[in-house]
Amino acid sequence: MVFDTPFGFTIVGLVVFLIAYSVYSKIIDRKVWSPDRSRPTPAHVYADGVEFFPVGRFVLYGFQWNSIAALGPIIGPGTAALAFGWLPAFLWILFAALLIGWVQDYSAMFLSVRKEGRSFGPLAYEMLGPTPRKLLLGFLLFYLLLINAAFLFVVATVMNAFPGSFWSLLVLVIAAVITGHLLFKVKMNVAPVTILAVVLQAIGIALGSTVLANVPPPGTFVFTPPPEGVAAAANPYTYWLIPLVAILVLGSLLPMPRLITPMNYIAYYSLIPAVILLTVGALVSPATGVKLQVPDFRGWAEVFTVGPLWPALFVTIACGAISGWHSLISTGLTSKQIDVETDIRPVGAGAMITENLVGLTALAAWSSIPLLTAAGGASPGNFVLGATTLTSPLLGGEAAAPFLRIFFANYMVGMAVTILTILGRFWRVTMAEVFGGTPLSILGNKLIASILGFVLPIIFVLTGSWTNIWLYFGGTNQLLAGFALLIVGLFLYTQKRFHWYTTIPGIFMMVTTLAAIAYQTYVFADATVGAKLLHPTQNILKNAGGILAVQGINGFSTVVGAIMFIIGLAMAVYFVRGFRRAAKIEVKA
Amino acid sequence: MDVSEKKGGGFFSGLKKAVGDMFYGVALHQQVTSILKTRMYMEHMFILMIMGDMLGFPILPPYYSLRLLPYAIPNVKAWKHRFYRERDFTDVIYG
Repeated sequence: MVFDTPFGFTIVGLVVFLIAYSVYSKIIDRKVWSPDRSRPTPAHVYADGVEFFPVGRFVLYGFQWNSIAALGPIIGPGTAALAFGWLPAFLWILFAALLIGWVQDYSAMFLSVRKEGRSFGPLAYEMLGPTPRKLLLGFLLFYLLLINAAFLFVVATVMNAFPGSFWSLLVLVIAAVITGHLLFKVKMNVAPVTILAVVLQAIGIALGSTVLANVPPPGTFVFTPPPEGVAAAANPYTYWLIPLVAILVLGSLLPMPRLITPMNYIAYYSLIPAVILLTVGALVSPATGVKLQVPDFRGWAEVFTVGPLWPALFVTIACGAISGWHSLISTGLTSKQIDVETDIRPVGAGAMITENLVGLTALAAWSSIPLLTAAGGASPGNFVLGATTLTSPLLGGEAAAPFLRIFFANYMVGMAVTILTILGRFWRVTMAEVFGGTPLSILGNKLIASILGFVLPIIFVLTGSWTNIWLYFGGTNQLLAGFALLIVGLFLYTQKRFHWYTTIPGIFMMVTTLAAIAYQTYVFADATVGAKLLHPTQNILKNAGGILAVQGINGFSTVVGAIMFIIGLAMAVYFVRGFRRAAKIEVKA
Repeated sequence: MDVSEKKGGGFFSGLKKAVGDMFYGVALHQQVTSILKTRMYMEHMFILMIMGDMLGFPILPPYYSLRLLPYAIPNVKAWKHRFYRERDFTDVIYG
């Protein structure tokens, strides 16, 4: 029976992705936006050779995918499968891939192209007014904090479970510095530098999977709480986060070609093989005998601290289904380089559907091991174990397992660290925008903002529960996606064109994410008032600073959740006003 | 060579180009745009240095200005586009 293996849902998913791209997106493209090859795009009209210049669609497709792919599609499906079973997770990926995910990326890109290449901020200003743009600015600050927190937490956990991945990351950083120097200072040819970079990364993975695999021994700095009243000698937050934050601050301060861009360049040489390996592993699973180890459905309500299926499922899987980050990339970068309007569908929709594939393959990996009982407990590091189980039969079985474990851990860590350095820079710019020219302008200082951008998220990490942080991150991310969908819907409505294909998903995302943020805020508030531990791992904090420290951390998270909720609600009010105002506008034929 | 052969060659060369372009997009396009942006910011400073002379105010000694102007003049048109364009914080995700 093939449906008790990852093959079943992977093949169904691939068929739906194909339909989403070749049928539904094509209909919307032709009927709603009517792309015109002869209409000059901003890349031609405002060509400046730097931000605005025409680029071929395959290049832009690769660039868009590179820019939107991060840790989200890898972690989300596992958390959802853990909480609700693989079937709800799969159905949400499928539903989003068909009706929501690509709709946001593609439509936001098209709107930006039709609006002279404007990015999200100016589009919000134009469609809704100056206050929503300011709200968006404030929202993005919290959003960036939460992404940083979620990703830092995951990286620390993975490194704790697979210490070899820290050493392979270190080699990746060194390889990136060397690559950047050779490419941009020595001006060596790309081909030999690429070979050198890939060889260095392979050496890093080999070291991490052999001689340095157990340095320090896995689980030394465990998340498993020490007994009540026993102080932990060290914990993974402080142990792994210190070198990690040092690397990230350095990355956000150095010029891009010194570290970030070469690191992205090298890291993507593991992304592509990882996605191909996981897809092939899932497709041949009936032959390799890898079975689904996760129940198809666990229940409607909370099983593993994430809350009820609605709204939790829809924010748990973020980037693998839909993500607000993508609209920032689509409008802020890619739209400025679209050559002809007919390229928008392959670039915007095509890259997003590929991202859905990343989410689907991650679900296949997560579902290949019994998540709640596998080594490491319910940890993000279980993705690594699942991916190894799914793919090792392709490469020689158990003999390949140690190498594959560090390869997939390196894949996760690399995906997180590359995006974290970019987020650090974006945070710095946003801080300068918010605090520049105010009495608090010191907060916009390059160094201070960079340090704050990674130290503040550690406060969230100290809450001790990655599921709660992940849901906060997913909630803000999906709320941003709701904003993007509704901005496009509002634009189409003002043009008296068919807007429901984006307005209905927009309303769904707004309502769902506001409910999810409200629920999480309630969870943190309840823990604060009742002096409760949200998760056993908060024992570490309790042992260090007493119950007051736990209350302080949970209280901080409550305040952040409440602010996010209020901003989201205010934006919803502005959207209602915008639609009402647009209803009165007459469009001349 | 018959038509079908031509079509086959076209398809494979097209596929090769598409795959090559995609790899370039994944791996290098971000680096290239980032370097172009770095150059843009340096050019802004450079043009500001010699702007006085372009406007008729001798800020730098004329000897150096005259040496620099030939490098600046071809860039003035694109520079105006870049320099005067208002940038939002959502425009500078990658710096």
